[in-house]
Amino acid sequence: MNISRNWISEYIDLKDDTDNLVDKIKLHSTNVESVEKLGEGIKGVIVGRILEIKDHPDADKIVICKVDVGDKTLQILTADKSVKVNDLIPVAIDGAVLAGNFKIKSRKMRGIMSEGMMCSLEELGLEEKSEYVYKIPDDIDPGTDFVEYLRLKDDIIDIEIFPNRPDLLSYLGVASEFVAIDAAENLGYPEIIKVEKGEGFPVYIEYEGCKRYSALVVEDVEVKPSPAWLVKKLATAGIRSINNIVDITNYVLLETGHPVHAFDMDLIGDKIVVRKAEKGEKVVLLDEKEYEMNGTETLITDGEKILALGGIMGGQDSGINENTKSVLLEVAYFDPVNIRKSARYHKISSDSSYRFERGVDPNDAEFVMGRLAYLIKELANGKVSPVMTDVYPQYIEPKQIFIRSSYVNERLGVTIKEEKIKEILDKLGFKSEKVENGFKVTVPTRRPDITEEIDLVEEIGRIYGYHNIPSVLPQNNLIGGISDYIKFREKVSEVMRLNGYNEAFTFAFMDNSRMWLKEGEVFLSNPISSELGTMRPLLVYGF
Amino acid sequence: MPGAKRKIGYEHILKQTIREVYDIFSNMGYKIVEGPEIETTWHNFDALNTPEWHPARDMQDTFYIEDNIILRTHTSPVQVRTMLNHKPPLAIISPGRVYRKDEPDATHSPAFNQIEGLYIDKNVTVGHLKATLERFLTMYFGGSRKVLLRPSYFPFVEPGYEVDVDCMFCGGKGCNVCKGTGWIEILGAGLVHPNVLKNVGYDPDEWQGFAFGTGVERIAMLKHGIADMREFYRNDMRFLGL
Repeated sequence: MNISRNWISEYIDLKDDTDNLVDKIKLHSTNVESVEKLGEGIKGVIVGRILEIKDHPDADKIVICKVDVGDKTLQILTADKSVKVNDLIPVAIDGAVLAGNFKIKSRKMRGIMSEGMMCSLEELGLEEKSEYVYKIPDDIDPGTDFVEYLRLKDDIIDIEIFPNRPDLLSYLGVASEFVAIDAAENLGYPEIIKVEKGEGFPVYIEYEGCKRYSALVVEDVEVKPSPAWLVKKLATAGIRSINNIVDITNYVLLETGHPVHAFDMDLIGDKIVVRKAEKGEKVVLLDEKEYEMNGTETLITDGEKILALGGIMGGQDSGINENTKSVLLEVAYFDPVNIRKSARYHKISSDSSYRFERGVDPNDAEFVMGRLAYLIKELANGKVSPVMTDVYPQYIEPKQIFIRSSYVNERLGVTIKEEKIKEILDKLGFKSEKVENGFKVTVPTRRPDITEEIDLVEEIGRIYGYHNIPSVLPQNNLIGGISDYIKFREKVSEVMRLNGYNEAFTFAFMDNSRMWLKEGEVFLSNPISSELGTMRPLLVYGF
Repeated sequence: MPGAKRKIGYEHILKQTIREVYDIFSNMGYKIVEGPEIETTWHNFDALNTPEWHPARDMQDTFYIEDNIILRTHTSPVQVRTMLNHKPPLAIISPGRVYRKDEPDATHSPAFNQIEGLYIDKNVTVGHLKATLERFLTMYFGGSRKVLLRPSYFPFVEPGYEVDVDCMFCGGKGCNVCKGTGWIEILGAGLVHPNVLKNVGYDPDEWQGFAFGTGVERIAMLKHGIADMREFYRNDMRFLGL
């Protein structure tokens, strides 16, 4: 999971520089795979407004533009003929340096001078491959330093997510973690619109593959390009910008860790029915592929058509497009095993299925929907319905675990005082009540990985710091030894070597056709290649 | 007349490494155990707290023979088999070949060798694990080695660790081998998960333990300065004479 330093600083105040932050993460939380310095060395990119476009007399793939860059007008040539008059674009002027240390100079293109270059997201280091010049939708003045405006200079820390830390798959989750490991303080939550629960858009859950489904209507939305700050944030996560509504759903997934979905209300019926798939049913999803159900999947339907493969991917025919006027927002919670089985079967892995498989917080729908509503209102001008439907048949309780102070100290091999244990539990955001011999801990549902006493030992141990545990050799009366069989084998090997034979090590799987003495009978169903697909029945094949 | 000259053959460096590791642990009371390379998914995964639909099954790409029969992905199933047949306390080292569906390159091979250790007794602590690993690494690499336990995850241990050893080439100052950090990642380890103990019939309130594992090629490569893992399997006579 990529964590942009600039982005996460919007929720917390970081105490350390990036190197020290990385050390703390490695010591107390998880492994750090890499740190990328985004925008390193990039300079000389300013905002320009296209005033005039003319064809190039000698090259029909190039156009000549007059661009207002604030204090003057430049003549810039480009091969992107999709640019229009009044477009705001990033301009790399003479002397600029772009991603990959690409230096820009004024130069002639087919005989005509170009005093700079129009940039795509690729040249800013935000995309692997861009096809078009980036058109800036924000309302900013020509001449503005675009690198500054985008806060392009950023450290992107790639933290490794192990299966037991699904809470780190979101910015707010990582922000809480940074506070717990003493790398940050002052955690602040982003703005939401408070939505009331009630009789909103009709929703029915008919299958336990879905444990909760919340729906909210937003009308009169304007589907248009997202502002540059959102494009940049998504780019740091390797996600391409599509339009403001789709981008907001991806943004909320990254920010809160809770995958959400948006439907075009004109393309769906008048209710949501979440049901079990029937074997043989087919649906075309957003990846433009058709999938045939095996009869165990969780489907989002409107009672007639299939709208989405729940928790995994939306359907192609109900998705947001440039004509969308009204949106139905979905914040749901699915059974992790059901999602995993379905995703595996259909060989799909999406940012959504990845999170549902590992465990999402079932109890944050109000916050997540409120955040979605706020962003859509801000960026797409929608009219947010005051009432959200929330079908939640069985409330998922936070786990209560009794932890013995002696157990913690015995497992770790230290003596942590009870006040310190309480302090650590507080830092982690776990409510704890002192009881005899230990604590009764209420684990928030955003930490589904913590289910028993030993899990809390790990939490306490890692925050306390394993480097603070003294090394003590265990005392025992055990006697080492090897079996007679191994002794014999070693002796045989020794005798062979004394007679001049060298020991070789060969693979146990090989090509069936090379078995000249006795055929193989044990085959791999998924070998690395057919030449390594049969288990050898005889060692002599090693030669 | 001079006596007849005899040429002596060489022990493969992987066998040599396993023997060195085994000698170190034998002095601490560990026994060596071996087990089958073709395993059941129960011994390789379920017994080790990795049920079928657990995302942790993705962490190791497995070769399948049938639905429930695979090439073992680690030597931990040998420990399961040993625990099922013995009462605690016990200390065992299980070396052997393991298989992962990885494209072969300088640091990956579809077949390689692991050596894993398991120590079960009453009141076993993280401090015991630390000291045991420090002694092992000191005796294998020389000098006076320190370890750094960093939070990680394996389904059969809790807490789980990635273990770094302080760089034996620069003493922790930073060099090419440790990529300037002063530490080299060398082992996976942790306290045995109570579910694993229950699965083999031990009472986790009475018995606890730690487990650790490393690649034999990995430690041999570090100690002898070998850059490409594939050398171990090429069996070039010049390499065998190392």
